[in-house]
Amino acid sequence: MRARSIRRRLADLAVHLLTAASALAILGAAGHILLSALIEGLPVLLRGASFFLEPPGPPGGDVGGVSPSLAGTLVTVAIATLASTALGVPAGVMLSEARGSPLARVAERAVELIAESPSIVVGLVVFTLLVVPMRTPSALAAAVSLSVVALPYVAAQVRESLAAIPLVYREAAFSLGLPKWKTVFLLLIPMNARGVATAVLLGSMRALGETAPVLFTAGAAFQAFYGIDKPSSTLSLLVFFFAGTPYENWRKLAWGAVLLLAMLSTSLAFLTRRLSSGVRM
Amino acid sequence: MIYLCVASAAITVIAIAAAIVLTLSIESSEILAREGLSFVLSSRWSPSEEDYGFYGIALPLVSTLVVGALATAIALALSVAAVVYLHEYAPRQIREVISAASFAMAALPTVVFGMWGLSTVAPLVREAGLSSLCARGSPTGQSVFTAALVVGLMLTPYASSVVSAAYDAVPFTYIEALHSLGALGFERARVLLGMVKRSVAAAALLSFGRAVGETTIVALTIGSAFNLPLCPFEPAHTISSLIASQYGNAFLYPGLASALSAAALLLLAASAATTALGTRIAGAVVTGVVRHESEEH
Repeated sequence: MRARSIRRRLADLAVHLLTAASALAILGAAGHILLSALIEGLPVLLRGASFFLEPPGPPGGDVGGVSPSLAGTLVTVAIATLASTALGVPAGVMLSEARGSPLARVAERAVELIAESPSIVVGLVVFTLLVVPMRTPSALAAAVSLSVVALPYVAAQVRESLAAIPLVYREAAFSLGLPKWKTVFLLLIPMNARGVATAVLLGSMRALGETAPVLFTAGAAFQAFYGIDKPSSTLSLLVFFFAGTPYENWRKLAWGAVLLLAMLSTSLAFLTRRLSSGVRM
Repeated sequence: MIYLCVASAAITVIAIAAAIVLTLSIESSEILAREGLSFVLSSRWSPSEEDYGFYGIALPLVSTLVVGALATAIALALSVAAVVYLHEYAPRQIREVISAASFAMAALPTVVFGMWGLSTVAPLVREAGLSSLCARGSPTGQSVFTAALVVGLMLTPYASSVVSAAYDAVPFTYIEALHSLGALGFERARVLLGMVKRSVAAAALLSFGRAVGETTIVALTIGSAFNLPLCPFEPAHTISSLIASQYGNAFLYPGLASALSAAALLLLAASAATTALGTRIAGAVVTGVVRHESEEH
């Protein structure tokens, strides 16, 4: 009896230590990623105006900055956020309010398929359909690619947040004689502004962080921002291309961009969580 | 009027999904008609050869599955252990710190993980002398293992949120019962994990689906080489890293664009199938728990 009890305690201790080690490993990895971004990236960010306003220096030369990629990021993420909102919000409304209708069922499947597509696949398709006919990669093609990647997140989030509204509100609106679709846009969407805002933020967070969809669609114009229909670049693309270069100054820029991306993404994520965890009604 | 607007948005979404599948199918039909099954069975990839070149993606295909399986195993082991620790052992403050860390980790763009993998994990693999364990060990530290480890870490918050949600959804009466029987932490965990094993399976499938399609991290950390990944510390190519590294000059060779599109189609099929299955299982679990609870009351 005693031996058995000791064996149980030992087993418990072993599992305790083993699981604690795993949790510590997760904590350590997260901490190390954030710390290395901070240690390597902060000196670069602290160069201030030159980091944000200058193009990258020549390979192996001055550090310079990331202004063309920053501009490209702002433009593509803005367009992608607008487009994925314009399409994702009504699509999410359709999925929630017309649940079970043939159109909504097919649309549901379509949203799932887009969400399941690896983002490099989306980039490939946009390349074929947009970059080839336009004969050049462009900020616009990158934005289209990012919109498609962000779209399912917006639609799914809108659907979830609408589905969470208690039925009584709809019943009240219907009993006042409001038609179904007016109810949605005059009552449910305004009531649910936080849910919609969460969806929009989620979409822009996706667009900001993705690299694979812009790999062939944005081009690789790191030296200047030439316009929306011309080759362009984004911060994530800059990291992707500069991370493996042997040039010290370009790797520094990559770290600066990593820190900037990490800060923007985590603050968007915290904002999203605050919005969605707030009391709704 | 409003309905028309909403419905046209839904139709556009359907059109986008159809465009993805149709474009890839049309683009890849050329290579599939030409090479047939040898496209997936042949290991000879040599676009510059003769007039058309050879396109066999057997090696990247196997590497993709190996990286996916390894990354999933790492993510699952870490996340199940962490969920057990946080639910059965950890004091509240530690629980908060770890869930904040895992939240921040989930928010980070994949390219941040890629940069970290390239600058931290790859040198670690190299310094630790792991490369010399393999015949063609990677001199840079970029290897199948490096890629799988970083992808696994990237997936850990995702997998643990799936497992944790199921663990939380177990009715409280069961936990009370376990405590009243004097069950120790690992005994409670064993019973509860048994109850949520479908969610663990769902987490595995969802992680695998994402690992298979992951491009940014893998392209930066796997070392890009045509290699059969029998030894994990050798460099290799996955389908996604192959597309990332070669699609840019696909127009130089007659069959390359088509071959890479076919590879992308394969990737889409693998990712969609596992993710869809995972979602179904996870969904079934959620409804199962809800039904269970309502029966009790």
